Amino acid sequence: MKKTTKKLGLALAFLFALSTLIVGCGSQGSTSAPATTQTAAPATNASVASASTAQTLKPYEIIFAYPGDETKDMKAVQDAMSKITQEKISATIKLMPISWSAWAQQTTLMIAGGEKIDAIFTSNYFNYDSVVAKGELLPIEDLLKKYGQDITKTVEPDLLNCSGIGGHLYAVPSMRDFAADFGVALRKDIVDKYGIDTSKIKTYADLTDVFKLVKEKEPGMMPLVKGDDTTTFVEQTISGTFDRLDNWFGVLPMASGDMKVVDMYETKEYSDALNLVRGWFTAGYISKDVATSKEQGVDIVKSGKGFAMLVPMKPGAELRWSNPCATEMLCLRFTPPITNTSNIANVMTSISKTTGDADRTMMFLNLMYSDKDLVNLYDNGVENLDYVKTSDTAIDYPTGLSAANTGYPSNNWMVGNNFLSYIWKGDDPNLWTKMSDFNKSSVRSKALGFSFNVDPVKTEVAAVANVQSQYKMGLETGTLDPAKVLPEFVSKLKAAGLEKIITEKQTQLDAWAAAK
Amino acid sequence: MKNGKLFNIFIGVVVLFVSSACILPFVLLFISSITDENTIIQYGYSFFPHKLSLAAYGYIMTHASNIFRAYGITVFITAVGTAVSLIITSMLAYPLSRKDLPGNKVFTFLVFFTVLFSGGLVPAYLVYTHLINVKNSLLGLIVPMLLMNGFYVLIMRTFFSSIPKSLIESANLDGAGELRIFASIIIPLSLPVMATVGLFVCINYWNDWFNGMIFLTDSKLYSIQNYLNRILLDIDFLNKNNVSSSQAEILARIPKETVRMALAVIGVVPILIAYPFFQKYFAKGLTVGAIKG
Repeated sequence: MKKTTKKLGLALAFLFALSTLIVGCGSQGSTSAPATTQTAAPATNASVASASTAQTLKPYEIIFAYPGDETKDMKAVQDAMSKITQEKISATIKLMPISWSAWAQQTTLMIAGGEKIDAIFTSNYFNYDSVVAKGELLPIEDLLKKYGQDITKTVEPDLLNCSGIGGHLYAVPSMRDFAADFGVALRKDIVDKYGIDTSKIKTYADLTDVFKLVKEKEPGMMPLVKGDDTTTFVEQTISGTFDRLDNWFGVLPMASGDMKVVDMYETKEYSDALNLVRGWFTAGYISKDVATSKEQGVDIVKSGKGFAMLVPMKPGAELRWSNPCATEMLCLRFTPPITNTSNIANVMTSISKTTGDADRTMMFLNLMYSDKDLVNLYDNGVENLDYVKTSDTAIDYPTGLSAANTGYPSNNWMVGNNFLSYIWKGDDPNLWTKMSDFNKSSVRSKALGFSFNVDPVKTEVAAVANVQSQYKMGLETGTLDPAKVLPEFVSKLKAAGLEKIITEKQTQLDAWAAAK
Repeated sequence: MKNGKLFNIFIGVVVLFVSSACILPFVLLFISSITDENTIIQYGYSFFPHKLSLAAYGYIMTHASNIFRAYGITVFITAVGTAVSLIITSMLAYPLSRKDLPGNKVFTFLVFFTVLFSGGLVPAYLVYTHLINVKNSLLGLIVPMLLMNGFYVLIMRTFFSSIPKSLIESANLDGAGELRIFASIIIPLSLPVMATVGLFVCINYWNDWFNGMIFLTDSKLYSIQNYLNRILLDIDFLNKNNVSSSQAEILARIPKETVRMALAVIGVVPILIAYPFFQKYFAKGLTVGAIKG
């Protein structure tokens, strides 16, 4: 007995020795890279300060990581981009696409492992706030002042501030459709066939009669199918009413005059929306398995089994929805365009903490907001290889190529000032002007620029999200009866700590408003 | 006699049900993959579809060169990985099975410990990328997580201990060294366990997409599972997000439901073909392990 314990002790000791060895290697690896960056940064700082012309800058390779796939012409695009940046900021570009499926995991590991990345795509879709909390990104407000004049000129301060967390900015949003309006897309042939007067349809409730008609006249067709996998009918109908403040747990009513965070699940608007959708469901306007079905709405419409979808709109939404449905869709908009922090923080670019030269990376980002040629290269590829110009602002695929076999699929939403890029044939020739007007005309949430820091109430948010995922799909698709289930839902949310989240959110929002 | 016949029929029926429960999903998978996309959306999945179509395979064939390349990579890493893994696993397991190895218990415990605990993803990543740089190389698909598994070492060790000591002693008396004993006596006697562990390792390599996801950014090195996974997620992603009208046009043409099925068929077929060759060893290996405990 004594012998075995002695042996066990020996084994454990050996093990600990081994583990310290491994940990030692690991931590050494992770710290060594940032350390070199820290020593490298001041050196280039000095060189920038001493001479502002590009020629005197040390050559540098900027690695730009973004989600996507390697494409045939990527090397050509990279070389052409490098040529421009070489001349202007003495740097070359290395594009590093990482597939969407691996993005979150790989970038986290790469940055934790100290691998060099300079510019990096960020999005609240990939949990921007926790990426910042982990310290993967550099604060950029000083760099913006020094090298980002074109960015601050292009992106309004209110929009730029949307990337702010804890008083620092960590990202710049790309120029695209910042606002979203909400409504319904209907099959035009059916609307025409029964002479439905769409000018009379002003609210979601007005759709009931239309659905009734379609249900009676077209027995094989489901009047309403879902727009996408994740957004429920109710979520679509109330998106114009509330600013979700990142996660729907405590929301700001768009119409209210003060900054009071409320529990959306207890509002009249929410229960009205539930009742409306529940009415549609019991009347058979929505398929019975909608809460669990994985079928896409566009596919159902395309196969002739669906009539309408509740979807987000934007300029060009008609084309956006008509194409995949393979039939002309009529888009009715029920809300004015609305801008909130979530819309902006959807697509941004940041500087990774593992950058070797933060200054130069910011100069590159700045060019993406001002250099038309560079933006077009990244967005649309190389001229005459991936596109041909049909006019000064419009482009089309070269003969023999199409969207299906192009060597560089268009990417005109991800980085920089996309309004500088050419417009594809088939899109509205004035797409960017329209989009810019659309953004300007939008109603801005009073909390635009505020992002919620989940850290203090992490546990509660996780618990509340659990409760939410249990009820949300059932309730918000009309599958469950709100009269019975809503009170249960609300009380469970409270038990999980929703009130604590709301109080915390209110405190943060007040502090943010005061600082503003 | 009559009773026995009845019993046989009863067993036959039960086995028939169980085996169809295993086979029918594959049949449905295959039939769905050659069903017309719209038929699936309108009538649901069916063993007797209204309309057949090869559109899904047609879509996959547009990626044919990449798919064959990925297949080549998978076959390569599976072959090399399995061979190397068997060699080093057996060479670790054999000494552990010998009672006369000094510190035998300690080493066995170390191996056993890795079965229960792992270092976690980030430390593993750091070790693999900093100590041995496996990033964007075939090593990244072969070495991490898959090459060695403590559990398989323990299985082999148990099997090796069941080989009579007198065999080793007599070989020793005849003048064979340790390596000779291992190669000429132990390995030929251990084919069942080699086949069993080999099959496990082989399937692990074949099905692995995680290493590719962690260690690869270069799509030229994607294994078939990485590649199929990526085609699927691309479709999903394009669906979920606001895309420009030109991308929406591509989307309209992709047969989504059926492509999923066709990809699964492509991914599973080679394993189905390889399995029968391993099967006889597989059954033997399991029973041997069971008796000896």
